[in-house]
Amino acid sequence: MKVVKKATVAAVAIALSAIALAETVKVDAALPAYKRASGVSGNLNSIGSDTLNNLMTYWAEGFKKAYPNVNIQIEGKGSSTAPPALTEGTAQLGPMSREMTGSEKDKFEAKYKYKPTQIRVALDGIAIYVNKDNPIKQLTFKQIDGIFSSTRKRGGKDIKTWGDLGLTGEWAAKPISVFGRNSASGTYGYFKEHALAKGDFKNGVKEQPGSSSVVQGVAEDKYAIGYSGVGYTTSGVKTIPLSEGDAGPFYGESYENVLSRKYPLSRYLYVYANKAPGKALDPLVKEFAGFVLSREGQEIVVKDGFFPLTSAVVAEELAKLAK
Amino acid sequence: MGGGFAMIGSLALIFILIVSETLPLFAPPRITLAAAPAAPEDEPVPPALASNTPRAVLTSGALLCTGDEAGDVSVFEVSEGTEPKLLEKVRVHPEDPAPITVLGTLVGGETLVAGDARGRVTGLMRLRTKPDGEARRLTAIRPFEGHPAPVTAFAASPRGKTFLTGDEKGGVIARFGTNARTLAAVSAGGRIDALEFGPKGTAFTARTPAGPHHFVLEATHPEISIGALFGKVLYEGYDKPEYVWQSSGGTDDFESKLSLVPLVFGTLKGTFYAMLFAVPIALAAALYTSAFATPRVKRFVKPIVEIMAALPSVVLGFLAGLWLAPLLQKATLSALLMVPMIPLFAVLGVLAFQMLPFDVRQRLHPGQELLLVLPLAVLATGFAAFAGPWVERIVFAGDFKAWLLASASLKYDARNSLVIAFAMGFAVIPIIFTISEDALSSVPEHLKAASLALGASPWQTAVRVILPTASAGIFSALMVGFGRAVGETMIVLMATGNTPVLDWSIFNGMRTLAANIAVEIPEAPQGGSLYRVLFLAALLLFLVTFLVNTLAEVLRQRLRKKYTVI
Repeated sequence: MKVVKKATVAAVAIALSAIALAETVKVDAALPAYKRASGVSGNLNSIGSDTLNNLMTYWAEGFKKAYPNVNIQIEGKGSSTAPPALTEGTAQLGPMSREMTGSEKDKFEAKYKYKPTQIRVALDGIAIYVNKDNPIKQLTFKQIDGIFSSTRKRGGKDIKTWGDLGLTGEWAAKPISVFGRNSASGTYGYFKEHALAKGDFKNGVKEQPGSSSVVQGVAEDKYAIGYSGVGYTTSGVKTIPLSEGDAGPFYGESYENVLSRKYPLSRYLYVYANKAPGKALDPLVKEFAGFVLSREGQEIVVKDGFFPLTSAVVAEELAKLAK
Repeated sequence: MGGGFAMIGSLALIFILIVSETLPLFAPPRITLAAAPAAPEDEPVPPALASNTPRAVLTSGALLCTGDEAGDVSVFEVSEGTEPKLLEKVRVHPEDPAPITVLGTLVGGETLVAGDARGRVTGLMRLRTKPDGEARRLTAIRPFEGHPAPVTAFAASPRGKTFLTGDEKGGVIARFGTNARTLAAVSAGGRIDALEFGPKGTAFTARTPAGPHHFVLEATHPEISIGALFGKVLYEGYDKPEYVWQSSGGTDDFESKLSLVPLVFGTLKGTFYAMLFAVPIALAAALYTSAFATPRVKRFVKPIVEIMAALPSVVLGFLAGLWLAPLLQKATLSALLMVPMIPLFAVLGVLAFQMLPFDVRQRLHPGQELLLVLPLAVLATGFAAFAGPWVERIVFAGDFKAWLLASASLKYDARNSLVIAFAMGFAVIPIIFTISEDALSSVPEHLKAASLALGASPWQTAVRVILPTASAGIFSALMVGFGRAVGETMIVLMATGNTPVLDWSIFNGMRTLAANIAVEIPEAPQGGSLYRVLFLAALLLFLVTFLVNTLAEVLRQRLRKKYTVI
């Protein structure tokens, strides 16, 4: 299913992200502005992460303003759809919210004889969402493990009701309704690796096909909890501070905490591309990557509710693409 | 005639295509001799450990395990700055101990593999002693096929749970850890001093006193075996063997759990609840429409029901997931009350009607009963909606869902089988209705006339004469409805949480074979294990529908012969 996202999606996303930005995040002033090149046209296909869906749409819109002859098609069913698409050649861009595994890289390498190129494009923190009426203040990784995991590798107890987390009153007996992403999702893989210490999810975790449907599920269900990228927050949910250790300190989601990696579920968002070593990137992909890594591109990242890269990281990525 | 052959031809083609994608799953793996050493890769190949004490590190929990002459494995907890603490000592083979010669861990650091002087190879894991506790004990869980000589070397693949063991006589056996499958074996000639895997887990080197030997292991689907697909397997991190479907994770050391049992169960569960809801309603409606309704009502009902059938299932799934599920969650008890209330009100209404004087009853012509029963049904729904909160407060102490959890330990999920029953029922009812109604209407008029003439009431005629005569057609209708329910993808995909649970409870969801294929195929790399298992799932669906339809057709012919009317 190829979906060309149009202004309606962008409009809704703008509204959502406007609510999301309680603090104004500033893009690094040292980032270069984008310089338009000439003679760029063609079709650009992007298949991959759902977390990056809105972001890719915005970038596509901005890119089309600069190059009206370019046709961009975006499909976001989950990060695990990106490596097969890149390997088969059905997409030139593979946005992923987690890194490629060794076996995915192997399959790419088996076909092209070189490894895929990873481009960092934004910073994100996976947020734990609860309903806005939920009185819970903060959670430790051990508690998250107890809520989401069936194997509980962090050694905690199985947590079934809100009372097990210390809530009292009408919340004490209510079972926790757990939402998560489907297994194609990079968010799913990243959460499993870092929050669940590579354990397995419980059978009863409701798998939603997209980040926004997780948030919607939590917003509708008072006793729900879910995880998703921070750019998808709405008014019906709230995010809570997390701590990796059992006693704290608890870090909320803010640009400083994500940049310094104090927020435990901070991660980069990536776009993978096919670049032969020694040869230049396809000009269309090169310009798109240049746009993403420019000041305009990172301002779009802020608009969507994620966090921008610093100029040092952008310089590294641009150098990687120029090789 | 030509059309029929074209249909058979295309069906056969589809079948052959699916089978050809599934068969490579069971291709036998083999080890072949490599001409030259594997090309140097980015990561250096680790040298073999040269020491007498076999030891290995379990990375989850930072534990060091050592083996000794008595056949025991000791587990030490090692943390920075403190003395290693002995946690436990476990005898691998209590009835017949032999010195442990080799210890290793599979990628991920969860499974320990111990080889001893008798050539036995055993897998061990730290299992929880109590389901909810934190204490774990190292337990021998999986005996692998043994060697004829003492085990001397071990190597684990960096890309999955494949591992190699070598023995004193030069035999090397490649195995897969999760399903205890022996993949292939080869002989290197001399005593195997060390084994090393290349970084991609396909090429390996066996060092013997005569020199290194290089091999290539070709095993594209090592995790697949009939036991892994259909049996209970003890996976890493779990406490006992279970049926699990969790096909991918974001890391290399993730253990793929590809059991088709939860999916088959989910398919049957969804179909069962859908049919439970749809069959009584559709059959009753068909019987009423063909035997009792006036032609005006018939002209009006049939096209509407057929429009119901034309509704795209995506729309049904969307409405079910986004409107019906939250509604049911808020008003669960009202919805459940509706089921007994509607028939109850109908019966009470009819009884009350019987008590009215004859000339009032005369006014209601046959075929106009609908005017009486429909308002009663609406009244019953309204009563259920109103009485629901009252019943909840009085009988269930204000909270039905908490009561469910406390007394029956049933967790209420917003996306559950009740929603599926309504939604899939909506999709299946028109099919069953149309075919049954056609079958009932095509019963020859003279039978009905004869029965009525002999003094039977319309009800007796409908139930004792028309229904049995049309039973072949009705059965066929049920089978077509069943086939539709089994293959229904979009409704299940959008209205459930796609949770692969093995639970008959109506209050939680399911994962069906069809929805699973829809969800997982975009992420399955072409030619990989998941890709082929999804084709296997498609093959299963194909075969099930084929078998059910064939069985239905055979039975239908039998019934037709039995009830053939002169």
